[in-house]
Amino acid sequence: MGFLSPIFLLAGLAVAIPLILHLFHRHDAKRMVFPALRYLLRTEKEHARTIRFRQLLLLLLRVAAVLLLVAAGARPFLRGGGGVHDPTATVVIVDNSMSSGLITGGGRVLDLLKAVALRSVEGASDEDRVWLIRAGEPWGPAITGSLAEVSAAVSETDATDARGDLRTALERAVVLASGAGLPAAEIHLISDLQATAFEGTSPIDAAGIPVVVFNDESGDTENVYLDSLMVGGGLAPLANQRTRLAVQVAGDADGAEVALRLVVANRIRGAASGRQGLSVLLPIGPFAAGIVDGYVETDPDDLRGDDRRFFAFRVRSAPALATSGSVPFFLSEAIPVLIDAGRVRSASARDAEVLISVGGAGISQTAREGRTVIVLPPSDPTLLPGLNRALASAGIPWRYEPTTASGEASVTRWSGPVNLEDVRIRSHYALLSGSEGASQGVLATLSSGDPWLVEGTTARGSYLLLGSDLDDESTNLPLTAALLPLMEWMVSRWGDAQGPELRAIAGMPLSPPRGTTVIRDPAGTLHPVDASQPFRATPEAGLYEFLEGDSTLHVVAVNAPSEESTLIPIEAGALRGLLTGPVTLVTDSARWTRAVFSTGQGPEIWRWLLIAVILVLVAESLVAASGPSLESARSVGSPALQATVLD
Amino acid sequence: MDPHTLSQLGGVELIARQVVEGFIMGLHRSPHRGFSAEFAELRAYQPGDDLRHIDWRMFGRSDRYYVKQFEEETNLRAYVLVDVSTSMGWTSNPGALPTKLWYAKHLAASLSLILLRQGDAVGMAAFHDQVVSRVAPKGGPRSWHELLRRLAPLEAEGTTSAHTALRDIAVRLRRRGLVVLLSDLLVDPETTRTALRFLRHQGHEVLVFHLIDPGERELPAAGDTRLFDPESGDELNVNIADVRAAYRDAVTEALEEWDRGLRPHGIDYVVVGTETPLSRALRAYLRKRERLG
Repeated sequence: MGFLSPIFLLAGLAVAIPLILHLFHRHDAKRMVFPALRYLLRTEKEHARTIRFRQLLLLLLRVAAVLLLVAAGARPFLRGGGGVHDPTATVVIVDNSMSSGLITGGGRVLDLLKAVALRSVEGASDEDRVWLIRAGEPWGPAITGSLAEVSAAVSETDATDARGDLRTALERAVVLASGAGLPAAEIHLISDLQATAFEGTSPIDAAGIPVVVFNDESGDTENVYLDSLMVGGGLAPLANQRTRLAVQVAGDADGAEVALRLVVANRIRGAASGRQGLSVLLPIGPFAAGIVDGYVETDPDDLRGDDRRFFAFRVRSAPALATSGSVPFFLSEAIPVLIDAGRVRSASARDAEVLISVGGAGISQTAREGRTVIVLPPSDPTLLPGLNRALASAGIPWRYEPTTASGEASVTRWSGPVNLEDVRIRSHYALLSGSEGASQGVLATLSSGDPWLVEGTTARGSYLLLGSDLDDESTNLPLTAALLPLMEWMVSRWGDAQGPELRAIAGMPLSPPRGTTVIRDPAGTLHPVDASQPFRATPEAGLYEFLEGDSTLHVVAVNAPSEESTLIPIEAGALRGLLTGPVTLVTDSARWTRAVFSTGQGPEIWRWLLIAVILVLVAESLVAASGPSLESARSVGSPALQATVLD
Repeated sequence: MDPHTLSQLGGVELIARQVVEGFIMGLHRSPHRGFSAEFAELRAYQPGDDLRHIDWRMFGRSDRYYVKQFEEETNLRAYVLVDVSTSMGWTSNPGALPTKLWYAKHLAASLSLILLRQGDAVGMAAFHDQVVSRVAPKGGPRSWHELLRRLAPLEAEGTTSAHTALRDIAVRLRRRGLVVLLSDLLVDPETTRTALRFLRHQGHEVLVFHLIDPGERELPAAGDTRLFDPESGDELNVNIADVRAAYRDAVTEALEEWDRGLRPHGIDYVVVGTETPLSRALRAYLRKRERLG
């Protein structure tokens, strides 16, 4: 309840008047000679208690009348309840992220959130401006329009497989609401409030705009889901060779056994079982060269969106490998092993798909388009100028320089599939980038801070630069078991078997390969695209096909973000800490309508208060007019006495 | 004429005459039949009758004994008792309403005039906690002037002790007569009623005029008031509105108590408001005389 004229409440001090009169006025009563006092003394004795009760009742009624009158003068109104409120810029954030698809209590969480959002829209007036932000569709614009249009948009909202970024949604809402130029603003955050949806710990400046948060506490927070998926241990699958898929079973439920099924090209190709926290290996293949796609799934639970993990990879023939320059001993021994294992093919430098160049030899020579060059620096630093000239002529924006760092270094920043923990680098060169963009290609960094392995792409093809020679004086790498996997990994990157697409997340943009004209989404809908622009409409997990006409150029597996599978909500205190400004938490959907539009006013109730004042005054008059023996007071006396009374 | 108008006319004598002249006064008969001058009737002789009253002529005619009866034109001995306590000097509306004492004095004078004109003997006593003035019952015009002379200077003072005065009168009244009490009866009810009943027991006719000011029947329209009883010295803080109805009940109850305590004993009890014309009060007296025959 609020007051339109709260200053009038000061008049409530007038309640002191009846109190003062009641307590002190008698002492100032005038004195009157009254010989018939004995009658009154008898009355006083007989009715003292009744009189005191009547006086107290009169006092209460008079105080109540004053208070009610004052309250009526302050023009109270009821908040919410669909009443009139100031024109309000209202931003309704509906969290339709993957977790909103959770089934709980026989219904979907999103359906409850939508119902609450519809109440917000229904509570708005035509003078309000209402936006709808779907937190599970961060690429989508805020939807606005008439109340009917916004209401329809709320009804049409469906759960995506994307991550709900509530921080970004709130920041967008603040910008929209504060820029609307309306007298009032309000943000309605309607979400399951996953803690993972609030990235970062810095406060969100709501610019003083009230935020009303619906906090559905009814959902179950236990969930089992399929997390990361890796093909071939991170190495490129090769044609006619078996490989394997590693899938991580994750979650916070009890460690019950989970059934897994491998589906390739819509056919079940394998099955296994696993437990939460374990990685399950599923053999797959062999396949002919081409694109292989499918998914691994488990039995559905309450949250379906993370029970299936998609994959897509390209199966190619073993890449043709050539070397140039003075190949170190251990590398010269490793390459035949890879050839014997069928992981690479031997080829001339001209025809090779992958060229291992020591000291820059052969980089500048004519080669096939799209060739990958793996550059190893020379052990003699005096040869670095020649290497740098070769790199520059090949358009590679990096150069080697002697480093002043001394002592052994380890590989500290490395995300590749090969374990390099035991690798020690005794001497290395400093890799210096010639452009800002080149530095983004650093794959591994030494403990000295110098890049050790970098990658990039030029007009001729891709490249990998290693910061140290591979002889045993420069590093112990040749003496460890990591040499062969690292070499295979470096060679296989050209095959693009483990490109970033395996980590593509729903809601994140995809970069179409050159020549892409159309993208077919998992629902089969064709989206004409400009290959130079990122493709953002990725709400659904599944396989996205990049087409050039009728030809499939590439397939990308898009999966739900694992953060969405962690259903633990943010704590109320933490949420209040994140949001600067007034925050109202509503856990009961039935109370939502009353909580929103707090700046507004409901129906005024001063008329009812005035009626109450009149009733109280009537009651006061009745009590004041009636004595302790009202009925008997109306009679004059017995008939016999009446006959003798002369007046 | 109402008392206020009468009070503008002049002294007690003039006002009493004005009031009494408005009456048609007949000779009222004595309730005590005796054997005086005026023959009344014959009746059959009964054993014990005085042989002197046997009508021998009727015996000669009828051979039966008859006794002659006569109506006695007796001089009624009336005694008017006037309460002059402090409470009698109060009026709720000075200037518009007379005090109870004024009313009592004029009512006493009027009654006395009526009684004296009928040949009765009238005495008077004024009292508060003791008798302050007394006039022995006498007949004749001079008696009235003596009464007026004693009534006129009476002032309201002292506390009331009616039973003392009543018992004093009871001792002094040898012959049966009429006792008229004019008081506001702000007295001790039980002792006063006992004294009145004692008078009645002695064979006196008793008529009580309970004088009451309108402001005593209905509390004035005032708010919080400190009321003061000049006789007892009691004070009471009240809100008039709070106690008005209960007070009205208490007054009614008190009047009923007086009525219940007197009327069954043959004592006439008349409540007279001081706003009431004196003539109406006198009618109450006439009704009493009618019943006396």
